[in-house]
Amino acid sequence: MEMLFNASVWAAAVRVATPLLLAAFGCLLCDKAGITNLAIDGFITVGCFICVAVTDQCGGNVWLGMLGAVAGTALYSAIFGLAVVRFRANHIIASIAMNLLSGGLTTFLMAAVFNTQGLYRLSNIQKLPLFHLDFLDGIPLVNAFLNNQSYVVLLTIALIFVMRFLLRRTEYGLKVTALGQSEGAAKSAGISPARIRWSVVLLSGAFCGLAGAYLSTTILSEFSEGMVAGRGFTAYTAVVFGGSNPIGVALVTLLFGFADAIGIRVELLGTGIPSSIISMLPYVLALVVLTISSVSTKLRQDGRFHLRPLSVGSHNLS
Amino acid sequence: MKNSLWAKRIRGAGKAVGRQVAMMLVAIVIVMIFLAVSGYDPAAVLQGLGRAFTRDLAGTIRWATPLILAGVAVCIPFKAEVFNLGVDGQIYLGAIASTWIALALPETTGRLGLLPVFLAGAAAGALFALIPALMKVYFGTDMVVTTLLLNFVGQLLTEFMAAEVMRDPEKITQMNASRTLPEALWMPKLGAFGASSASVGIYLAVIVALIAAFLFFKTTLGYEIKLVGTNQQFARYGGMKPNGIILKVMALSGAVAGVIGAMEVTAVQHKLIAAFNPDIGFDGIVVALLANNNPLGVILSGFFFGALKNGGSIMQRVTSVPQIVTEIIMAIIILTISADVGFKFIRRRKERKTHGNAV
Repeated sequence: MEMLFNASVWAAAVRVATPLLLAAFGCLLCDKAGITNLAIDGFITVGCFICVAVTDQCGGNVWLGMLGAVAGTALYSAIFGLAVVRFRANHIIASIAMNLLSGGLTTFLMAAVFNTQGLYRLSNIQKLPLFHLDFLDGIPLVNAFLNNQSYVVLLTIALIFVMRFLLRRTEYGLKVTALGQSEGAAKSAGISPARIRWSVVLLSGAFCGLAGAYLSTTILSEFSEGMVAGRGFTAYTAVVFGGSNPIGVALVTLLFGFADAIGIRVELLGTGIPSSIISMLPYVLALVVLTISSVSTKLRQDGRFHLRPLSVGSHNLS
Repeated sequence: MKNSLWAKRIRGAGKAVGRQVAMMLVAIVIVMIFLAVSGYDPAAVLQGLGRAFTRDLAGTIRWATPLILAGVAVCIPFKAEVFNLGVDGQIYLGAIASTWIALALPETTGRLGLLPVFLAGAAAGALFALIPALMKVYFGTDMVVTTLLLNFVGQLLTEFMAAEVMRDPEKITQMNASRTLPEALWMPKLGAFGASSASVGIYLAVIVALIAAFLFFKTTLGYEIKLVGTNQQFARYGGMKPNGIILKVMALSGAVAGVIGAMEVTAVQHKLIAAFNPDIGFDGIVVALLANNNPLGVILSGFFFGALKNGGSIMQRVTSVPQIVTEIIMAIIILTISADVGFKFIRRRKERKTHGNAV
């Protein structure tokens, strides 16, 4: 029980939640504009790889690595944009292709650039300094959230409110939302659907690039095959749950981070629970969260809840 | 009359085959350019593929078997516009159940024991596929995400079963594996290839594809699936229940996926190993897409991708080109098909020709 209030568990939860939330921002923007972007999983992988590769080539400079990852992944996401916006491909199928391509490409390039298989560890990395303010030490939760965290964490927390403002108060945000709700209406209001769609896809690439960079050079200092481990799908779950509210999305990612941190703690304590069961926890939690969110949506629509099949027409088949 | 119908059918089939071959060739050429740019020998791809069709045909058949089945597993729900992205998880569950039954059966059953083993695999796969389907029908949960997430659950569950519950207590070196199946329950090898990994399972895969084709083209259920996939409102107006169709296609798809699990266990691994499945379910999506969701086409495209997968591993053995380029080829094929690039381009050129150069 004392685990729940342990400051180090909370700090770890924030660290795990940060890349999830960054990726979720990208996914949220796409979702608002009517694009189902599951390719974020692959984008994070590419972000991880570019950041490690650039950092390695630039003598361990992580700043350059992060910059490269953001720009490079945004550029890479243009392939998805080309398929989805230009050629109107099915979003889900194009996403799967992108995830396949991302896995294949990074593994191939790892062999071509680093001459290794499976894992490349950065040996010359100069880790970024961590944020620390002495007067925050005394405040329990704030201390765990902010102190001794990377500046990326601070940026991400700030971005929660920036995103909320962007979506609700700016012209761009309203255009994105309008497009997602009705393409025809948006068009007749003089909004160019293609331009908005391109912008959200490229932004999602940039966000995922930063998420990957944080994952590969701040939490770890390596690139390995399968290191993303479906984080993009969990991020998507957070978007489904949080709806249009970035604060809601952030809370769900924090929940996932917390589950992960508790899992690591339980494993370290040596309770005898097999690691495979512990690693299952975030995925099962994501499924539970999804179920709760769809039940609550149903409640909102019907006024009360009955366990009976939805009448078709109120939902799509996929 | 009949003559022209057959001519039409043959022309249609020819077009379908031509489309598949053309897509493969385009993707392979792109990857060869890519290889040449990165300083590898681009001819390695052709060398690998060539051997996959000649000397190492057995390896191609070994991979074609699960890929054809995976293509069928994906194309049944696709036809109803339902996305089952959880085939991999269902494969794992099928493997767990069939290994369990195979190890529990008394020795005396012999070859006949394969029947309950495969049935157990199919049942487990179907039940695991019904979880997201029921969540969809009762709660309206997005099935794309639930099926994707259940893949990880299935994979970790296999790891748990292989490493903890069913672990072979006598083997200390290989931690994450169950006891070996009794030899009577090994899928018989294809005699023509001697000691290879090609088994008679390929016949089963082709039969399953033919059954799926019969289901699609000759039964009421197949008609309903197609109608729900093309126009849900109209299907409901015609008295069909789309919710029931979701449950049916997912159960069928999961059952076929479970058969893949049973096949991998009985024909290739002969025991339950953690992470034995190299994302066959996702490859199934490419197989089904290339075949345009036609189970008969799946036989052909499954064979193509079997050759590609086998060719990739030959390539890695013989040359220095990493096997992973086959995954890139697949991704390019899906992207091209989903974007429909080739066809739009051709159509536009045709239009331009008929309208003169007015554009």
